[in-house]
Amino acid sequence: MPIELNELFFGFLKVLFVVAGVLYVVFSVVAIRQIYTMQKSLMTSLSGKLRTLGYVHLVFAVLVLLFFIVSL
Amino acid sequence: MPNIFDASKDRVKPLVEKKQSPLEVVNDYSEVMRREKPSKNPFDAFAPKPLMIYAFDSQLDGENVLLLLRRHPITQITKFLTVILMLIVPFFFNQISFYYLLEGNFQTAILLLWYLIIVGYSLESFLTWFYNVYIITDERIIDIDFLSLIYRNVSAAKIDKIEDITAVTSGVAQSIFDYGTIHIQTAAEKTEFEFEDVPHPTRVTQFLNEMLVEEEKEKIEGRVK
Repeated sequence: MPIELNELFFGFLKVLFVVAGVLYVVFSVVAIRQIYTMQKSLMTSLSGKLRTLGYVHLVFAVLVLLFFIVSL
Repeated sequence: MPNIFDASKDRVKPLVEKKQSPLEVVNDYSEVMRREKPSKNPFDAFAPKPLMIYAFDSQLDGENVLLLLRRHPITQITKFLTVILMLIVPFFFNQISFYYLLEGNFQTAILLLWYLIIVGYSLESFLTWFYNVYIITDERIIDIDFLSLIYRNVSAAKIDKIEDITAVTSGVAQSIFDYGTIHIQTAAEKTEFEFEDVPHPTRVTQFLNEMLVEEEKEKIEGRVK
């Protein structure tokens, strides 16, 4: 594959990964919002832990997005 | 001289009799609840007299949760197996020639994205199962539906509006693991409630019948809230 075409292909692939990462971060934020809404509907002894799980999930998603942006 | 200052315990009547907690009161009229121990596990799919439920949306003053139901965990087996399968798939990425053409960072990125999708799918599945609950209180039946992360539906009907209760258990899995669907016809705004794939449908039906009888008694005795 010619070098320019190669760069174009991997550049396009990087954009795809970043878009996927951004969409996943949006999904993580929606998940946190939903955890709060669900907890309003049903408050259990697990509520605090589920909130933490939601935030850990969001942090994980942001880190992966940063990896896509920085290292690809 | 009469002993008027004798205040020994057996001579003094308690001014206020010890009040029973609502979760104890239910034992008085429900055979099913008498047999069940209060549930402490927040993951229970059949949770009688749950101690880990603090409150729910639209809860009335003095209303107590007597039974909380979720879908039987065995109904989640398909999702569980899907996650296991998805976890195995990356081991076969090496078989795809396109994967080798990519630089190391891109290979890592594919793996990360794949695992993110698995985590997201697992989280969404768990939350949907955990918060999709059916609640029987001393006043009402409540159906809280979270069919997906962006769809929520809460329906409720008073116990005395219940007209007909039918439990359906069909198929091998439902018979083996003792779960089924309970159809409740009501005279409320929502005419039919479905408690889908809940554990011990016979016990739930019996409990609802006991609740109905108790409601009737309350009406006759004029104790209706």
